[in-house]
Amino acid sequence: MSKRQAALDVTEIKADEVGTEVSKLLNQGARMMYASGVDAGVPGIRIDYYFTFDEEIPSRNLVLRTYVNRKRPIIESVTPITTQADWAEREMIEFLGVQVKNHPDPRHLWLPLNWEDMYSSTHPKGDTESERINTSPTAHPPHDNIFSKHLSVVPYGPYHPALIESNYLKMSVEDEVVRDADLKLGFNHRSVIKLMERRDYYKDLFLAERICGFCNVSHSMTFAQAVEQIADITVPKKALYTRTLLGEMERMKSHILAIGLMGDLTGFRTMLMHAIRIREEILDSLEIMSGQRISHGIITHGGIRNDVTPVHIDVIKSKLKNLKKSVPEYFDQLLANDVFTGRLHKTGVLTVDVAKKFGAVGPIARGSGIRVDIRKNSPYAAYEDVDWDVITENDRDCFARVKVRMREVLMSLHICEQCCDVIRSAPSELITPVNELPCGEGFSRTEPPRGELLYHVASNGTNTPEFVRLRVPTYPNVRVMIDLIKGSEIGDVPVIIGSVDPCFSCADRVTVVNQGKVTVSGGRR
Amino acid sequence: MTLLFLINPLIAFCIGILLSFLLRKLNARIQSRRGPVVRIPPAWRDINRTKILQPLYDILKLFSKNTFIPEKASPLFIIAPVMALLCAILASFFVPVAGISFDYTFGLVVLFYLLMGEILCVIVGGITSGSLFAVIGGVREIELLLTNEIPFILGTFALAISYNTLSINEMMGFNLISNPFAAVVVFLSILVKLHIKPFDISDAESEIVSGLTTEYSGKLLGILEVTKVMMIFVLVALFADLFLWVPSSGLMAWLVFFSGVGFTSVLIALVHSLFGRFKIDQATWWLLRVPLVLSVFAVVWASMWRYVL
Amino acid sequence: MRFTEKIKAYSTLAVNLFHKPVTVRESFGFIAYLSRGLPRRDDERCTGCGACNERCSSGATSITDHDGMRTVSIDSLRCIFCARCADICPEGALDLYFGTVHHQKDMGGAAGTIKPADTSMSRQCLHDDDLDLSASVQYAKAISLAHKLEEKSVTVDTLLPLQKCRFCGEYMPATEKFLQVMAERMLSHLKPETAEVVRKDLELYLTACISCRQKYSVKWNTHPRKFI
Repeated sequence: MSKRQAALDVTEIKADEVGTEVSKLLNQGARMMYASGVDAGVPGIRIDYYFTFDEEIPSRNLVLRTYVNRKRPIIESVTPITTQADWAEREMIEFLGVQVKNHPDPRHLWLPLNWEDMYSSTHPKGDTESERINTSPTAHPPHDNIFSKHLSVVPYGPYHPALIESNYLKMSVEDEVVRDADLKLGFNHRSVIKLMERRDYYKDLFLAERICGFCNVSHSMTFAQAVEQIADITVPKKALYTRTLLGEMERMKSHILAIGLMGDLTGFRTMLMHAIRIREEILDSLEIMSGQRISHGIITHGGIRNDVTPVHIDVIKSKLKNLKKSVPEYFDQLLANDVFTGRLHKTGVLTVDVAKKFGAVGPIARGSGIRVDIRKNSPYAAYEDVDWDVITENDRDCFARVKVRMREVLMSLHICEQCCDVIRSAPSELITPVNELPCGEGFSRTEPPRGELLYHVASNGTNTPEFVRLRVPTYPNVRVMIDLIKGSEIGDVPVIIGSVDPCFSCADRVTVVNQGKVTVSGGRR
Repeated sequence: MTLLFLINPLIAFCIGILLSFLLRKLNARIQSRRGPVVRIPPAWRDINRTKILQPLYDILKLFSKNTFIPEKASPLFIIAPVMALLCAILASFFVPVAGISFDYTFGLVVLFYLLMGEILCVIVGGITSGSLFAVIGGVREIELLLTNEIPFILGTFALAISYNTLSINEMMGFNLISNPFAAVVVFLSILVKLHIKPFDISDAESEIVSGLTTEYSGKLLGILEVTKVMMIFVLVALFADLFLWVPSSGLMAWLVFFSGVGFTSVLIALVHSLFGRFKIDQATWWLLRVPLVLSVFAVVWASMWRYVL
Repeated sequence: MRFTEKIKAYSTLAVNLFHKPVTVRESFGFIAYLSRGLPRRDDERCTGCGACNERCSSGATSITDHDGMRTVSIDSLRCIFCARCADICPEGALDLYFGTVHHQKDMGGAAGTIKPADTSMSRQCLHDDDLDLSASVQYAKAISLAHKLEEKSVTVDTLLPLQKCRFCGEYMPATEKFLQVMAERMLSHLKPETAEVVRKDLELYLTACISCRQKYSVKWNTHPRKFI
């Protein structure tokens, strides 16, 4: 049976040593996954820097932990050392009120750009009763480094056909060449992390599923794995294989739609329609297993909730057989189209250095030839026991990323078939119940279709978690996307966005709302 | 000469509606969708019995809506669509519908200018709206126009060389066999002029929202849609006349004409649904590489047949 | 890719023109035929304990005490069909079913024809030999009709009387049925002769509200622990 994922290795350091420690770790070949702050009460605001070592298999997870004063939460920025911390630190600034010194770009990312005008500066200090958002138009336009340049600015969004979800991509354009680009998130705020702290662990599962419609199995699986690590229980074999099967089905459905959307973004709508047609078989088999098409609600702490019977497996196997025929045919149709492939070749070239600098994960990194796959790096579910391999392409352009997705779909089909065989003969035990949850911290990583997802859950012995921190794969990948868009042509921008396949609902999950009063500074909760 | 050609715009509009229905339907069927339903089952016949006239309903809907005019727009914003419609109507006079047209000695040359004028009017109207997307779309449209006009003119002039005339009525015939190069070139040019899939770069919805017509709404957009529908008919009929016409008269002429039009539009629909979209530099480079060479070939072919053999 | 392969790929795409469309005709509305279905409550079994309300993650269930009656309701339109209430219900009164009794009442002909045998849960329905799809189509019609008829939420309500305190006469936040079931369940673990002794004391204890228990010092003197 597969081993459990490596637990968190915590190293406590002083606040002023962060820079040196981080650069020391980075020189050892670590990748900074995330940084987040938690208001820990008396000890101060706790700031965690999450690292992993991709070269080591199974890879080691490391956390640098430091505390800063709650009254004066000041910490030195590590963004000048590594750009991987950029958005994480901006998130800290906005949602926890930590003052990050020497951050190169401390503008708002999730809150409105003119947030100070709208909210804090219009009211006298200490006047907490009248704290309301000022809805009247502001005196001066929001500070924005894009609009100050003397080039024509093309706005993509907040609602734009190229972006399925709402966000705001601004590009300053000269002729057809994009000189500069900037992204504004925050149109899909749902304050999921905060809500999780107020609900019990079982409700959190359903909430975690609803962070993203595409990777909902991965979200609930990662959360469940983190809780299982705290409770120190072993999941039954059948549950593990069912989770693998669900995860791979989800990967197929996401990748096929991503490839179809790629067709749509290059004007090849026929391919999108056929992608949806092929995907329907996967959705059907997911529905047979769980009873739901999109948010399955099948994974729970300690196992799975619904039994997958041999009858189900028969149906799923027949669907997989159909897919084995229709999917390669579909890919051939795409690859035969020179107009389609001509759009992808040599566009959005992501060199290995840039990918490592921004900490790219998932198909984006693998399209540049980096072997990063959490399924291999720190195996979970049943990935150690099934036969599969990491897929990489060395062309580094959009076409390589699409090809990685295509080959991963075929690999997923292979994994699914193996899982089906095992589930049919596995013992019928579905769940190891979680009876009591001790105090502790759980840390789990999985590989959703888009890259690396990590959950950090802390239990305080009650029925609600102390805190939940999560980082979604879109987080580092969108940074890469903005870098790729700079210098490309307008015609290439949708292709690049499609090849990165961002999920902004995932990236936009956090805000801190406290009964209508919004925490701005001082780390109040 | 009779005044029968005066009903040409009406025919152009009616058949154009049916042609755009056909394009939508075939496109949908290749995508494994249903598309606009031909026969609605009795249970759901609450509004009408068929959706064949769906493009007409779309246009009627636009005419029933309010028109918004941007603050920065100049009067050309309103004039340009009307001018475009006028160009399309005038162009439809010169295109023979089953042999009926305004038969003018230099009809082909006038038609070139009218077809170009329609596109230019749309470009002018779009650019004066002040929208960035329209400006980018306009630039792309002009690039396409520049690269597309040469093959189109050379391709049609190949026929003019063969028949020693510039009147469209006199050069009609089954030229698909006698000059296949010209047929291919003119077909490709029609794709570009109609914004069929590999060449719908100027209104690429995923890049620049809807290009030149981004700021148009309501009745002005309705006029542009009418123009579009008429242009579909004009160009498809031109192709059918020049390359798929068998000399005949009476009912037979109409039959030949409409089978030619139907065949051409099916071809266009196939191309529309089987290809993605070019990037602008790819499209101009491709247009300069393939149709231009072919059109030169067509002219050489035509003059060879005429003067050498 | 060779030229012949390209031609083959193009032709496989174009051949779709002659295939049947895969999309379903727009009808009254379409529900996936393997869905878990809507929550259904067995009114006979429900005791109004509120366990479902505690566990529901989408706020679809609600419990309101008014005028001596407890209304237990499920808003099916807010339901996310997670079946957590069905897992947790101590009485086994909740379940996710195709076509609820509620719909059969309101829909008249449309859903009234659904046979109980067809309305098994999706988790079990593949164990059955034949899955009757016509039932699910009718169910889809019933749902859309329900939306048209009520134009608001499709709710399932259960009305249960609240227990009156035997001393002060005020309503306690628990239903009569719940307390009875609780008492029976407690006593069922005991021997019959012991149960007879405990029963009277227990009933007195359960039917007194918390303030009256302190006021009149009601105690459960004969706690079952003494007998074990």
